[in-house]
Amino acid sequence: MDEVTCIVCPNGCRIAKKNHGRKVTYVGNGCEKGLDYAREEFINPKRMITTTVRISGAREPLLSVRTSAPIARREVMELMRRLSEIEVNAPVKAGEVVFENGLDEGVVVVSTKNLDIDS
Amino acid sequence: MPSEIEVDVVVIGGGPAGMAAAVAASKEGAHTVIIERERRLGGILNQCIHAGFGLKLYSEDLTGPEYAARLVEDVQAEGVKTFLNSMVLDLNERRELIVATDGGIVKIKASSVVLAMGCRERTRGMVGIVGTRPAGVYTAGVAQNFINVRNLMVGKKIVVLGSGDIGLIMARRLTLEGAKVVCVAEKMPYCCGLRRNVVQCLDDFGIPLLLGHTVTEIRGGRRVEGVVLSRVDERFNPVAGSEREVECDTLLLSVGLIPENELSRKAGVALDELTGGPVVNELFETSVSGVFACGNVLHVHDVADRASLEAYEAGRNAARWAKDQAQDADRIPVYCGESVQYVLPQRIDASKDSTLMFRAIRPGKKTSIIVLDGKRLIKEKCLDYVNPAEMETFHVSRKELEGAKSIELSIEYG
Repeated sequence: MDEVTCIVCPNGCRIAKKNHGRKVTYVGNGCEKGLDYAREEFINPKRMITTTVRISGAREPLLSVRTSAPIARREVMELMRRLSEIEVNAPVKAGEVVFENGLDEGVVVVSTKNLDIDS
Repeated sequence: MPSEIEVDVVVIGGGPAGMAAAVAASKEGAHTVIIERERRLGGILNQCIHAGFGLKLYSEDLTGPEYAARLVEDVQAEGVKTFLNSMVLDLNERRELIVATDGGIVKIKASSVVLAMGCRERTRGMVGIVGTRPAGVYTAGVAQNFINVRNLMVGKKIVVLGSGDIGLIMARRLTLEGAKVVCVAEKMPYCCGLRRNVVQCLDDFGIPLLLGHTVTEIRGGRRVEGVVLSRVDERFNPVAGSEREVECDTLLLSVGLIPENELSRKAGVALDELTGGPVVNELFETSVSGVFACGNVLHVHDVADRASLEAYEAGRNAARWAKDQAQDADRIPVYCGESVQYVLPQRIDASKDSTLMFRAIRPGKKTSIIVLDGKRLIKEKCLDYVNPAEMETFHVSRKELEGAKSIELSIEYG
């Protein structure tokens, strides 16, 4: 992808990356903030991931979870695959770590809600 | 004999609006109860596992369940009694309710009522798509509930109709869960959701957004086998010859929301055909004295935070009304002018400062928002951007309103 849409403001500039040998420039940004956004989006785009994991012993089959910080966008589908293999046990508290296996830079997956044991 | 209780304020619905209204009413000293149809508080927040909630209310980026938990905590801290798994069967203009609860029928007599029942999704029948009636046609919210709450996957190869935020968010959700989203079709010439969602829900996964397109036919026997996509002209009529069949096993409809006002009608509350919700004054009081409305039952909101903020006011006013029933303001009508979908409130007290809420009819840059009293200009303000996906607000002061007989808000596109 050599063009990104800036989401900093409603203007939605289309910012393109241009390679001049070793030097890289960006064109299309309406402001400085857009330049920062484009740099990050081109070099290492990151996304917060929210999803669910299976839970046993609760009244519901799923526990909603999120990453504790944004992760590299290219890692997203691999994280989804790994989360599809786990199951946690009730009770779980919101904020509790439910998965930490192999995510970069100390990012973990945490619960976003309390789920008690179904009595 | 059904049991009977008397309360100061009854709130119908325990979502982001209802909980906030109940907390505010209780803080004003009113004996307040919430009636909630589900087994837990939270409403739609429970299935909205994505982030983006709480930015206005808590200055934090929360998921739906996290946002709900904050309000549930407040409801509990206030000691508000909550009837869960309970359905209001009837409401009349004397503010008497008949409620089906786990413990049988309960009659509630309330000094004031807050309507916070939320909205419902428009369905296939309401958009009139022809074809067969196979399994595999879902509204986006139903699919969201199946996937995020019940652990039921809806399909493998999916077409989404409608580019509102729910449609976009579901396109991402389905992709993360392993489905192939073929495209999102939108009949308007622009996307109806926030740009952030276009980038992070569609562009990230290479999902095409087909503007100016709609689904004109659903094909399949027991299960959806495909849909016919057609381009539409400027009047949104399908262009003959532009049809093409797209193979899919599921069609997701994200084609609009309708405020759920069945109970409001029973109580004789006047509705506004532009919003689909009650006509209210600046206190969020409806045409029936002592009956207030807030959240998506009043008008469909862009973000939950705004529904809650509006509900704090409605709840506070309902509590005050329960105490003193003061009702003597002189009000002027607020009209919806050119290029505006709707304006709220529909009546205001011109002796007070007012905040008008409105939505633009189409996106635009460098627009002017104009408020007139007849032909007299009361106030004008430039807005760099308007987007129908976002609710806008406009303040008018008591001084600016002095002498006004009515006001009309309109948008001029630059």
